[in-house]
Amino acid sequence: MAETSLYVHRATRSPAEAANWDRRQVILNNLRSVAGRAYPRVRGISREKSWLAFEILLPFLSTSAFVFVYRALKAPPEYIGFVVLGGAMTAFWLNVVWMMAAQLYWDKDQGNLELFFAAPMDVMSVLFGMAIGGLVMSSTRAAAVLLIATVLYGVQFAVSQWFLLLLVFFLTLSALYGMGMALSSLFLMWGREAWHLTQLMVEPVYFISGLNFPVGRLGMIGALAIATIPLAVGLDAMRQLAFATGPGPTGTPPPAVEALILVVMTVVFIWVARLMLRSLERRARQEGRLSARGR
Amino acid sequence: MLGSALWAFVISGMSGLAQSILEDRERYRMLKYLYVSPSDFIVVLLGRGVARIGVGAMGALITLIVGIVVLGIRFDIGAVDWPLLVLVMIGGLASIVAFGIVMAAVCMQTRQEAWSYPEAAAGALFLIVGAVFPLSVLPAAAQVLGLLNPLTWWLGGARQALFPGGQTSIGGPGSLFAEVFGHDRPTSGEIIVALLLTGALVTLASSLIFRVSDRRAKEQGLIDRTTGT
Repeated sequence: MAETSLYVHRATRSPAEAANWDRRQVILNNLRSVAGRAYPRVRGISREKSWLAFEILLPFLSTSAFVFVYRALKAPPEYIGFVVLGGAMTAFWLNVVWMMAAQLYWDKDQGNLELFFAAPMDVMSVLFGMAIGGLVMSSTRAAAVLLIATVLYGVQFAVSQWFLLLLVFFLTLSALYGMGMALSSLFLMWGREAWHLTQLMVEPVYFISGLNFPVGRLGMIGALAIATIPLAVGLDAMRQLAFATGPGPTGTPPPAVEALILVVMTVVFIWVARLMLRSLERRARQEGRLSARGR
Repeated sequence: MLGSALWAFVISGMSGLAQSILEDRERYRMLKYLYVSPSDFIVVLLGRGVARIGVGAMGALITLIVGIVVLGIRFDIGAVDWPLLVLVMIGGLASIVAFGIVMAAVCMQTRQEAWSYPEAAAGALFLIVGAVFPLSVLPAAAQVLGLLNPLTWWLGGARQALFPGGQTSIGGPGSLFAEVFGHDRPTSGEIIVALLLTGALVTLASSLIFRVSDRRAKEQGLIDRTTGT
């Protein structure tokens, strides 16, 4: 009796013909690859208890420090909300930097990268899987930080447009993880400096993205951040929408325009990621050096 | 600005000692060789800690220069209280090394995921030592913890030495310090005595904790244990 599966779902006359996959097989195979790469991150949400604690604790501590700074300065209460929102979003940024950008380099170090290139799938599926898994994982951390800090510090949100707020939030995540996908190939090329690069992309990016203050206060640097860093533009748009009664205009574009910027960023970053991955894949096959460890 | 700059010492001092344990054991797998070498293990650790503090010093210096040159913070080198600065820096750095030894003792008992422990501990300390905001904005219980911490007195003393007459992070209206001691800001003498007392306590405690951890690590075979890739 003929067996039907993803790999053998049609009768073929020869192994060569069977190896020639049709579109359905290719799509299903890639979807399974996405799910397969996302699985360990989703399952790992609560498996390593110390990670769970520290991934919530660290953003919460730095958030708390800025809350007390604003209290000491007697800043308007909205600023405390700004900090709390920024603190929650750090969970996503840390995930993008450590578990997206640096991931392919670590995969190379652990010997997985050559398996990715050898497997009959599009390597973009691995990146999408990493992004989806990381997104789910970080969402739990971000929600915990947001909830605890909101209750503890009495943050009051004044949301004017819920739909736009949610849209901006999801667009921010897609642009952030698109950026992570593009950076993963770059970090792989830069090799052993990946660890230092991840360090470099934390505090300086927090500062120029206006994590704890309105990014518009940075003037030209803030404008550049809005044009290039999804965290900066997403946070600014979310703040404008979540604290509609907050401090007056900060010189940044309105949320609808920032949502459009995020759409463009998402498309560009994913296109760049695909382009770079193709180039890496070609080099890996031609030169055979990419999977060599210690580079 | 000064609190953030000086905090570079704490981050590098605390995480440097702890990460040297994790790196040598898990990554380079040579902790066991260091351990059986004729040198005293804690002396080797202290050596690595001092080197990391040197790295932190560079970070602190750069931050201060940027603050003065770029951000325009007013700083009068002629007004610096040098004796106080030297005394509080010695006491403060010794306390940082003591905290680093505690973290090293903790990391000796834990797995390689412990790399974030020093960062978390430093983050928690950051909240209660008046690094970037005065202690008076904290709840009373947190202020008590802050006043028992040598890093509070180190930062307060360095602030007082570099910017005499500036705002204090320890006292101020409504602070626990003002309530207990009856005056708004601590004098230089009070700062030095408090730093010495709290620093001595932390150093003794760290020495004890390290010895206990060291003994347990030997008994449980943790010196050459690797827990990751």
